[in-house]
Amino acid sequence: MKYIADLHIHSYYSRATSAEMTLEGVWRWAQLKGISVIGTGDFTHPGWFKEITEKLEPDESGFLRLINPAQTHQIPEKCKLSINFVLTSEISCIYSKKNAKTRKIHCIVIAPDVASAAKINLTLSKIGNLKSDGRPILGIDAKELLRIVLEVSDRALFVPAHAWTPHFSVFGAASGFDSLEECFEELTPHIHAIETGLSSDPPMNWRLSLLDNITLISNSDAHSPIKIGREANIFDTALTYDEMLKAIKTKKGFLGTIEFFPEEGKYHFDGHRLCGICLSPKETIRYGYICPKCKKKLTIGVMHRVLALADRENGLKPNGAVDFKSIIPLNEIIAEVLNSNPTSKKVINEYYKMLTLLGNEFEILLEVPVEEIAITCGEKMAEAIKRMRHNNIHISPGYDGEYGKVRIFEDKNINKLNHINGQLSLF
Amino acid sequence: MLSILDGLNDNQKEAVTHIKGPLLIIAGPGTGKTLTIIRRILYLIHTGIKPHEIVGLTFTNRAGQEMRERIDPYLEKNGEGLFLGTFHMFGLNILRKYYNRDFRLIERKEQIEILRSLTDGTLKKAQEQLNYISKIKNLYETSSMKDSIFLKYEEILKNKNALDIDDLIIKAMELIRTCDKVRTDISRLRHILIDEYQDINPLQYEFIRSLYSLTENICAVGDLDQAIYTFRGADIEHFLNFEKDFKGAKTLFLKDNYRSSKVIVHASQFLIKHNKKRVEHPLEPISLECSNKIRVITVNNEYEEAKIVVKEIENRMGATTHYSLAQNDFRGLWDSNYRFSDFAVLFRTNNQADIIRDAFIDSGIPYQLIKDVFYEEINEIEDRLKTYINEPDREKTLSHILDYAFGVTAKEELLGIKRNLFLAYRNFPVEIALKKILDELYLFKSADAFNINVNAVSLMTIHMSKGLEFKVVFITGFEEGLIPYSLARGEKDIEEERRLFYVGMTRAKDELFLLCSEKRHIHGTEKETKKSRFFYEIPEKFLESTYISKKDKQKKKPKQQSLF
Repeated sequence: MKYIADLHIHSYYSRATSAEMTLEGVWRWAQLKGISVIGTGDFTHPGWFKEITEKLEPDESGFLRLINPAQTHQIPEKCKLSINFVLTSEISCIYSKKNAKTRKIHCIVIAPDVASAAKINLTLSKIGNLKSDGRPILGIDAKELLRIVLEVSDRALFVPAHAWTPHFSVFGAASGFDSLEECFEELTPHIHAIETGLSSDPPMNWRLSLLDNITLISNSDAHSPIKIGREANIFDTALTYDEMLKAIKTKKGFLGTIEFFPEEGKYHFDGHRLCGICLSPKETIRYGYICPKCKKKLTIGVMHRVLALADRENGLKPNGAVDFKSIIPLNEIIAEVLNSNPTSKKVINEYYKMLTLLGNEFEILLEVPVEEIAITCGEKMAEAIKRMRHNNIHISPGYDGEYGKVRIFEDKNINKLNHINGQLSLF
Repeated sequence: MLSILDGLNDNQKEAVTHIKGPLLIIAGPGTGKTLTIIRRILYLIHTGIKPHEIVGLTFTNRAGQEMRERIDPYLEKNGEGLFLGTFHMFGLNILRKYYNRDFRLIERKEQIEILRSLTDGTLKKAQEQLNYISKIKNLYETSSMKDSIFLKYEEILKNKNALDIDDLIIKAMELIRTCDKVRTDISRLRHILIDEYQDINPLQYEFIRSLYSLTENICAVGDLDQAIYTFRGADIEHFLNFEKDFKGAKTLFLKDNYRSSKVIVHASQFLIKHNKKRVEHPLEPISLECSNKIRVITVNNEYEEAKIVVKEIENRMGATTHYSLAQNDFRGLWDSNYRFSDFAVLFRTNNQADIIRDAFIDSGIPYQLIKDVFYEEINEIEDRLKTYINEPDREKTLSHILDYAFGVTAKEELLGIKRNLFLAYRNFPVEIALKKILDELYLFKSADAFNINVNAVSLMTIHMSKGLEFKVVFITGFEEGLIPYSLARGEKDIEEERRLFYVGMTRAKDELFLLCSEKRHIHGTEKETKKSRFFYEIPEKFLESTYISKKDKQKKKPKQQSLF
């Protein structure tokens, strides 16, 4: 069957995360979004792990289910969905190989069952402190973490998280590597997938032939419920843990991903947030990687890194590459239509109204006919969603931690998306 | 094959190759002491001495283990019989071989029980008497060994066929002195090496003398300026008298400091020269680079002190979380070459540890806190291990047994020890491994809890930092009452406190921070503090003072004079 999965979120035990990221909260919001398989996040945290073992129970599919679903009335009838949890966690490895530069690599670990997760936790608890943060920092080599995961279970999966972000990723400009082999050495064959992150999309990753055999997955890395599913994966397999994992490893049954427009991501371009300086890769090179304002080293973004490692022209789709769809989160679309703030009461009310009338968020963004949206929510909303579906929008790119700014309707101050892409291909 | 003298400087070469007669090597901080000892052992073997004819006595198990790890690759299988370890371990080895076969080692809690039965029954009195007995043994006060409490205690131990920890040295020494068989057997010894000679106590000295009667090739290595255990009965006079005690002794200096920056070497030399009891010797930095000054930072209170430490670490590591990246200005801090294990936070007393640890928990930065011995947990771990010895049929692997035994604790420090034990004994048959592990645990000293392979910031007392080095060192509580400690009385104690601070300073390779808090809670009440007197013993030109007030959050840099 066809279903959507988001395999990377955080609980309220993580730093700077919403208090609503409880198991019940995640369970509810997965339904509003239309996500059947959702990561628990943070299984390495003792407090959260305890909640997981108390409130969830496994069934024969290998997924876990919420034992006591409460508050059912808050979920619109049209959104009701059976939610399958899968044990996931993100671990921050900060280390240096042979005393060279500092590496900071975030890694997602997906565990097949509670016993395996407990074993991973036991091993990691001897290496570092798992209690400080739902996303623990450990001083171990990412490769050693991979080895630990493999030793616990061959049904577990290790995925480099948001693989291109500058500060905390395997290809990151500041503290990453130039190839998976450099990071994982002889264990590289056990890397089956990478998470592309918000600031890159599949076509950017297709430009590296070294990723041709890697499955490009996408997840939300949500710290608050509204952000669940801002990126996600579409599968067509039997709804079991092993079949889903098989699809990630083989791409068979992996239909593709739902993506942020990469320009909207926080690290698409280069620059300095505090200086208000945003530069394309080409401009950065022209400035010699130095901020024209503060004269310090610039933060090098994802596009720059992709171009630096690319060995293939723009626009070529490698064999076996899967499809993707780019979206703008529904609350952001509503905000623009209503000329309001994405988290304002007005927007949230409209959000619930649309969910009640039309179905879950992914149905609205990807499937519900534009005509139907027009009838229930007005022409402007219908037009906005139509433009998004046709990639006919404007974005000023994100940089150095600042999200890109999306405009669906005309805005003279913002370049048209096509124009940005055209500019980059000159590089 | 490595040439034994490769890469050594002239002082080190001389120290390695001078192998006849008594030798004292004065090795200041960072002068390649361990390297020199290792090469000396390799050199001895090269000249035809058999490994089992050499004994290396170290101050901690850790130091012995470290030497072992560094020397084994060169010896391959030929290292069999070479002893590298503590006095206690060496004594225990002799006793296991020659003492009556069934003796057992007595635990602290049993010692206390015995002494309660001999005194008024209170715990307090028993502890006092235990300390007294241990003191008599370690100071080797033969006259006090006739005290009635001492004799009674010894009698009970004898009836139980038990030995306490100090007996490991005393009884082994008696065997060497009185038992011909032991003498003949041990006279194979041709070379004795003693590390950290400045910290030996009278009992250890007596022990060395009884070994010296067998071979005159004795080599003591140490640095008087780093003697920090006189409060435990160590006696620096042994170091000062080496040439008198051992006829024909030669003294050599290692003078090149490879560890620390120019500023750190010079500043620490200026400080230590305020001590009167010392052996004057040259110490020069190899590093010629113009280095950072020592940062002296004054803050409002101990919470701010802990925060500054975390912040300075982040300033070097770059952001460690997305959150701190968003909260702080990391512009320009693009790449870093630091690991967490490049940093150490040192304090004078264990009481200071909690606030510092909490700041690390808040930040998420990995740390390892090395605290005092965890007697109770270790006792329980030992009890659990013993259940396996009594039931040899229980089919289990070492890993299972250790998991079970250490299951009583979640303390990271102890889990680090568990890892070390596993790595050390995994290739032994389980029964033998168990016995060895029990011996090690019995001899456990707190400094052994430090796991050098863990990539985490180290939090520990200055005492425990001896022998270690870090790129960046923070010494907290740089105030009168802590440095020097308030219990220090008289010039002798102050000199020891100065040496202790000197040890702390010289742990740093690149950068040294001295932090003082204007106010500090002492026994629950907040008190105003004064900057340490040692501050005024370091020339101004090596220091950069900063005052950080919580109220105005502004950094002021007052001129040095205004602090007087």
